[in-house]
Amino acid sequence: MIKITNILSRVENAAFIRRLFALLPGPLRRLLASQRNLVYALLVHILFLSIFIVSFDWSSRPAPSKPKVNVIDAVVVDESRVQAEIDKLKKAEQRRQQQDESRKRQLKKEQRDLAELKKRKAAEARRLQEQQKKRKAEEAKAKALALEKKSEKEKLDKLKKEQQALEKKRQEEQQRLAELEKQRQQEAEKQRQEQERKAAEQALQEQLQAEQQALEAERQRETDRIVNQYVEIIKQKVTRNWLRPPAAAKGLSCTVAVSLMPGGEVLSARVTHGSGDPLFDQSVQKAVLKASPLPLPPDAALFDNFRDLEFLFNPDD
Amino acid sequence: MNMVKKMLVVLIPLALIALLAGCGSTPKKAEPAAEPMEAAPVAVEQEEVPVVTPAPAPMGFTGHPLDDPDSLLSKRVVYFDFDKSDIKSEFRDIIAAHATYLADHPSASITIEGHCDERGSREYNMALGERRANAVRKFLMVQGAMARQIETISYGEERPVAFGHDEASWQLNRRAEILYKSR
Amino acid sequence: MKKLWARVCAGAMLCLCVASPAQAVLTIEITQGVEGALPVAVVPFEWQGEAGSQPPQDVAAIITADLQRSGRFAPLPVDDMLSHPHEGAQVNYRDWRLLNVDSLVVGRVIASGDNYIVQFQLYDVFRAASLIGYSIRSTASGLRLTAHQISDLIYETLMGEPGAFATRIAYVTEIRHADGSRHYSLQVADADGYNPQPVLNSTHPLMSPSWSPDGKRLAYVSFESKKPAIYIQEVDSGRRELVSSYPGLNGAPVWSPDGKRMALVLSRRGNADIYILDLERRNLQQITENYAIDTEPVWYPDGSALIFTSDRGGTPQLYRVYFADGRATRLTFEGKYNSRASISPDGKRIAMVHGDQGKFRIAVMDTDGGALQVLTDSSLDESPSFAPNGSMIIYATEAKGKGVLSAVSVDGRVKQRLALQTGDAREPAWSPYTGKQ
Repeated sequence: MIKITNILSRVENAAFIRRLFALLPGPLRRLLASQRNLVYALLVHILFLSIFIVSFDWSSRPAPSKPKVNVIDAVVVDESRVQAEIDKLKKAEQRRQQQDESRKRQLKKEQRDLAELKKRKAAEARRLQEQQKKRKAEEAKAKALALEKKSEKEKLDKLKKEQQALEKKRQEEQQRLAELEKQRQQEAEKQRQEQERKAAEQALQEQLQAEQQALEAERQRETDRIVNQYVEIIKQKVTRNWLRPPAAAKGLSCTVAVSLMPGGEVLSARVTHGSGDPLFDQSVQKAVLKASPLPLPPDAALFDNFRDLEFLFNPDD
Repeated sequence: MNMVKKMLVVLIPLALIALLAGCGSTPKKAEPAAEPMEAAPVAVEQEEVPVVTPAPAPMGFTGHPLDDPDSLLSKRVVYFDFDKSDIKSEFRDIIAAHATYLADHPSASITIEGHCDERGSREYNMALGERRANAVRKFLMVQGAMARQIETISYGEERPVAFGHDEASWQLNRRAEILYKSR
Repeated sequence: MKKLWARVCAGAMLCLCVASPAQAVLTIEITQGVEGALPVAVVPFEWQGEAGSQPPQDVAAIITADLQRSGRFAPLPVDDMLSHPHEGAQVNYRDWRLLNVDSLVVGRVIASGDNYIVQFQLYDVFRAASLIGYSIRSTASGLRLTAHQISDLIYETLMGEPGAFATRIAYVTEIRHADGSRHYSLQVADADGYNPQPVLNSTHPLMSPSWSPDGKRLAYVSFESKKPAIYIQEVDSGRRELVSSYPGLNGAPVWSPDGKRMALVLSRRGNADIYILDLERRNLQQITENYAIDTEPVWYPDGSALIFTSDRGGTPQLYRVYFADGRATRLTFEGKYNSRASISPDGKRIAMVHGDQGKFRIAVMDTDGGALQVLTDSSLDESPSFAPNGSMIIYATEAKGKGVLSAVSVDGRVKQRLALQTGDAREPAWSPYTGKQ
């Protein structure tokens, strides 16, 4: 389809078509311009219709090749008969001459008959001529028809050829398309392969990165795990050592900032957010102090996590 | 269910008949003594009065009826259940006897002391002791004694007669005592 | 708000800890502590007096016994002490930290003529801080009181609420002689049971001692006139007056919080009902009026209502009546027998005698209702009375066939029997705080 539109556009843009087009009256031009597809359809239809019409056999009579032979035969036959007849008549005249009056009459009659015969002969000749004319006309017609047929055939052949050419073109186009397609696909394949290669490379890189990250994360997790473990141990020890003042109100909470030495000894325990109840705050401070030294992980590298701690005493009453 | 119903239909009228028959036949029968008390069951006492002895001593008791050890009047204590002040049936006759005596002797007067066992709180027991004394008082008045002859006082748990910490002592302390001020 | 803010801060900090490297401060949240007695060490006080003599009282021992009895402290036995400091300069905190002692009391008793000077200091062992220190002059006979006062100071510093060691109790004793006669006595003693002083002796029963709000007078029921009557007596002078002697019952006298009125029980109209006696004008106002027993009133600390025992529901239960509307509402619904209420000084809790399956025990309940908590596990307990700081309840119980007084901490954790006395002791009443202490 694409190729045909290309063709059509090329046709449209051809100079003589343009000139033709320009000759058309305005409205018709506009119509044609706007209804391009309709026009083309129409043209095609007309084309095919004409082909159809042309190929149709409008003759109702059989082919005239045989009558030629008949005409010649008929003349020959008639001539001989006529001669025979004349001979006969001469004989008969002789007879008559032998016979006078009657023969005269008979002659007359015969003359008459002859005249009739002549007439008839003329008529026949005329008829024959007419027949010949007709036959000639018919021949001509036949010829014309044959010519027409020939031309038709030629036309058909032409069309067929054109069609074939078109077909060929089409096929060529298709082939070209196919080849382009192939090319394209090949290119796409290439690209895909490229991409795959790239992807594979990237994947490799990512994998490496991921492994690195995993290693780091694992290390971090391990650290976190140890830290959390010790946070829990510290929490339990401080909890054990926290004697809550019985008279304190409910809902109090207090924050204590604690500094540790590398062995876990409490350097300082300072109330940073008091609860408002000094006894409560003191009890909280004491809890941390009594829990000293706080248990720390043996790995000294982790001490930084614990150097400064903050305890939030927030009993859930 | 039907079986049971049928049985009931038969048994209930039978039971009623038996009950009626029983009611009809029994005259005054002694009611069984409910608790092991120091005061002997009333019925036995009644049947034993008057005592008949073959001894040459004069029959019956000579002396003040209040001092007769065999008389109901010698019974001066009424016992109660825990946290209760209603007069139990076995003491009604004793109280009736005293009521009769008081009615017959207008110059006699008594004090009823109400007491409790040691359990519970002391002031509440004072009020409970008073209630017990008042219960006896009411009963006496119904039976004929006059109000002016009776005084009541409560000692709550302050004056026990038994000092154990068990039911044996407690039941002895849950009491109302009748004390004759004048005979 | 503070809590929310602290939580937000903590939460934010925790987030920071997780997300960022080790420089962030680790926050550890402590959500519970332990409940228990505070470990305390009271080092025997140094005696600075005549060589070879002893002070009339072992002040440190009195303080130790006080702190122990409160249930809030766990004193360290003297034998476990590693050192015996008598003043700050001698205190080595390490010695006490090793023993896990929270608080340390050190001091001296110094003879000063006929009198004494008692010095003491209180230390916070773990915070290494001196908390309080006083020097108190005292007579020989006042040494026990001084020791109790020191206990109060220590208690208040460490507990945040006033102590009740320098207070007194009143109670009744009965001695039964072999010949059947009985001897009753109304006694006033120190809160630890020491130093009993008879306020009244009688051969007739005595009941229901009740302290006036100023701690100077006692009201009580006496049978000396052969029937129960209510008297008021000044503790120090012994002067007394008859206040109520109507026919029938006169009982359960209780002073109003302002000291101007007295609630009591009379049965002059037939059965036990509660009345209010105006002590100045001596007129009566009847509060309850029905056929049931209504007795044992106690006043709300703000004077707006009475709680009393009534069996109008069938068995004794506690009821409350507001003076404003006069309608009685039932308060106790657990168990068949609840009587003899005593209300805490802050009005939030009531103690009572709770009877359950034949056993009579002391129980406490929120004044507004709720679950009953049984504090004792004996079977013949009665007469609960709150300490003036609300931390303990003194009550009467029976041990080895004898009536004795015992004290239980308000959470039920510690019970301690009071000092021995002759005869049966019962009906304890804890004095209020007075200006004297």
